[in-house]
Amino acid sequence: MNRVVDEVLPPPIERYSVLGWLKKNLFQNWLSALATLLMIYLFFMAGRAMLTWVVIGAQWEVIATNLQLLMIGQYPRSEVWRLWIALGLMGFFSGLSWGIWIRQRLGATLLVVGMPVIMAFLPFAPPVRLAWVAIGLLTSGGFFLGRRYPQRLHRLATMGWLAFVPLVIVLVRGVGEDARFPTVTTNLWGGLLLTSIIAGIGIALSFPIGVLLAIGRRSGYPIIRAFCVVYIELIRSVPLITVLFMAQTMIPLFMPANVDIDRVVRAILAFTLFSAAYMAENVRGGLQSVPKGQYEAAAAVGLRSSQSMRLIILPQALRSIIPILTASVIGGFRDTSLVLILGLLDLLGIGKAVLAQPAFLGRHIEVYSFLAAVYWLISYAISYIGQIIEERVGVDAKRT
Amino acid sequence: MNDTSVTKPPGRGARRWSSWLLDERVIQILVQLLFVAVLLWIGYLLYQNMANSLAKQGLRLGFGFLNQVAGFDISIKFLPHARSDTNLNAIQIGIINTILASAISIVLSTVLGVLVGVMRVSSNYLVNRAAWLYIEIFRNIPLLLVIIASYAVIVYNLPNVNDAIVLAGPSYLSNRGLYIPRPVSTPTTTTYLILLAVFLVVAVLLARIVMSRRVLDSFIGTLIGMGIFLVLALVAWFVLPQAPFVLDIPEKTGLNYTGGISFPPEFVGIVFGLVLGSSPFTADTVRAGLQSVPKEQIQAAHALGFGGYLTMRLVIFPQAMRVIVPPMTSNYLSLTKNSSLASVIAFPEIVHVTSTITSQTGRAVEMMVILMVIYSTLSLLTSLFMNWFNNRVKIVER
Repeated sequence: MNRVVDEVLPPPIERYSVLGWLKKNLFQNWLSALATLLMIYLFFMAGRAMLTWVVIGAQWEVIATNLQLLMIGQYPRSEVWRLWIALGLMGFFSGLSWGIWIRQRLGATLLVVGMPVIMAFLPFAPPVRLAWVAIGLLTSGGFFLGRRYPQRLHRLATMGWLAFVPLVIVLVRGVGEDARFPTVTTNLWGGLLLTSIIAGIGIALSFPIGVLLAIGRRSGYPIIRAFCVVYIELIRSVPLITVLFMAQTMIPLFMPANVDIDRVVRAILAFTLFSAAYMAENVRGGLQSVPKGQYEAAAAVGLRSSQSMRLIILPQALRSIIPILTASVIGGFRDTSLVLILGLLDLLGIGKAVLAQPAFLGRHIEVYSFLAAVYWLISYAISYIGQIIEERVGVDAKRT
Repeated sequence: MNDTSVTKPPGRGARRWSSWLLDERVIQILVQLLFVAVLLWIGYLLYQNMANSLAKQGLRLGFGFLNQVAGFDISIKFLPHARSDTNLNAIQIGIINTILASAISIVLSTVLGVLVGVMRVSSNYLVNRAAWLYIEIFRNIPLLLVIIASYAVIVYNLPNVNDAIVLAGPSYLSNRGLYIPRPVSTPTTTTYLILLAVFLVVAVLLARIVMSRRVLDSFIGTLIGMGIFLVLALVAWFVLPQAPFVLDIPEKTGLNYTGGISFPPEFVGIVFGLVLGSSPFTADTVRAGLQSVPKEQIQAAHALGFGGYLTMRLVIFPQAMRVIVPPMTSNYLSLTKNSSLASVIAFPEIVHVTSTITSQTGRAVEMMVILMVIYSTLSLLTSLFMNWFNNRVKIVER
């Protein structure tokens, strides 16, 4: 007699009790158990040592005293209000974009909107706390506006971000000799402000240049292709530090005698030219991932090659490399720390300068941990935003 | 038939110059000509400016200055070098320092990275999280910060020479750097080295014979060969009338150690920083490689009766290596380039030496060319080695 199995049972759903979970994940066999015990010991010792140091051992006055220096360098104190406006703009656009594009993530939303509020509760001077309250209001205002009118405002948000970098530069630098809005020369910029400006401009400029280089490297024009290959490979063969050094010594050499390029501009130039080569390689990877049929189909419906690139190929190519682009943006942000080699006082440079103050000799662990925390938080934020973008427009995103 | 609805194909004569200009091939040539013209024009302007500024400084392009006396000391060197040596000698010392620092860092960061990467795929929750924490922390901090901080910790927080930390060897770690014993040759050294060569041949032959008798996996065969070689080498060491090597152990004299090999704090700092900063990327590569092997493969191997070792050796390892090796090459390349950050903590590697020469002679253009040549050569060598290695480990597909 044959028994016909007409019903395929689903695989059993794995369910564990707490003890079962412990057994599976911590004490599967004696080796695993040993590792667990060792890890508990290590975590306990490291955690205790760290907590003791942070609470009792560390002397955080060095950070408290120099916080402003670390954040904005020697930017004139009378002009700080401009930076607050820039920060407020950033808060407003962040809130707006968050309200328009990101809706589900409640925890992260609370953090974005609540961040300025948390800052307002920290023991800063009263005007600073007031400024944070204002930024908090702007951010949450933007958030609710974006949530209310996503259709009408998403164009505004896009335009806002595009105009953001030039706007901030005008704000920070100032124009003309007017006493109410004087120019702040770049040698006064510093700290996190300088780091963000170099990273922001560098990344914003290297992206289009990189895309052009990548397209050039795959183009049918042999001379242009050769130029792009030589440029990309030459730049990629040397470390960033040499490009920075040489920008410092060679740009003056290549310029007419009467032209003097600002040190910060030179650093940004070197940084941009360097990252563009790496960006180009990333984009090239994306371009290669687009199947040939897409090119042919685009040609078949009568698109010119520039149209097919802009409308068919690039969108798919860029979508497929979002994680890599995020990683290279983070890499670029971390690499800005190298400008300290040129004597610029970016976040790391100011940190080193602070350590040279006689009052705070030997406080290097405190300062470097603080700097590491700042860099880490910003990198983490960038990678979080990258993940969100990947989820929404990446290759695996669910189309609605 | 209605002829008027059919448009006549344009004859050759009807083609106007504007349509000729829109021909794709013509556009292609014109665009490229324009591009070359613009490039040449910019190049000419830049060259003109450079020639002017060089003339003002009384310099002319050329590499003759490499044979001039450098006139500066190099603080850390593993070959003799004096102030009166030429610039070329100084560059050599710099290259050796770069290669040494990168090679040691590559080895150490691979060991640490593989360890953390394997921990990252562990089924033990705590081990897994510890590896994750390590990767997440060090991947998001600038490498330069890690290097500067490690150097500062070595100089300010390690004990001084009197209370140096004693490591195996005996080696000494203090705020003056790391001192390890140095092997010194004796009269029997040459004999011993010849014997070793003979033993190597013997071991390979013996391993071949053993393997041909029984069906053994090549890895086990290699292990057997290595075992035979080690035993022979040990026996020879004690049979010879005098030990072939003696150790020159660092000894404390006055304020510092003498003897042995010394690695100054700058060197230890850059190696430490590079290892901490690069191993997360190695670990992530290893993790990705191990996870790229589908779970079903492992289950299938178990179903066929393979034990843990055989599964690892024959199923997971070959497939994971295919994913791991190519990104490893670029990890190593970027580590080599990142070793240039050592110039910030005044470790005289090639970029540091080069910038000293540049500031002394004003030869910025020439030194840039030299740096490009050096780093390209290093990259090329690394890539060649990794390609060779990749060919060794990659799966032969039928």
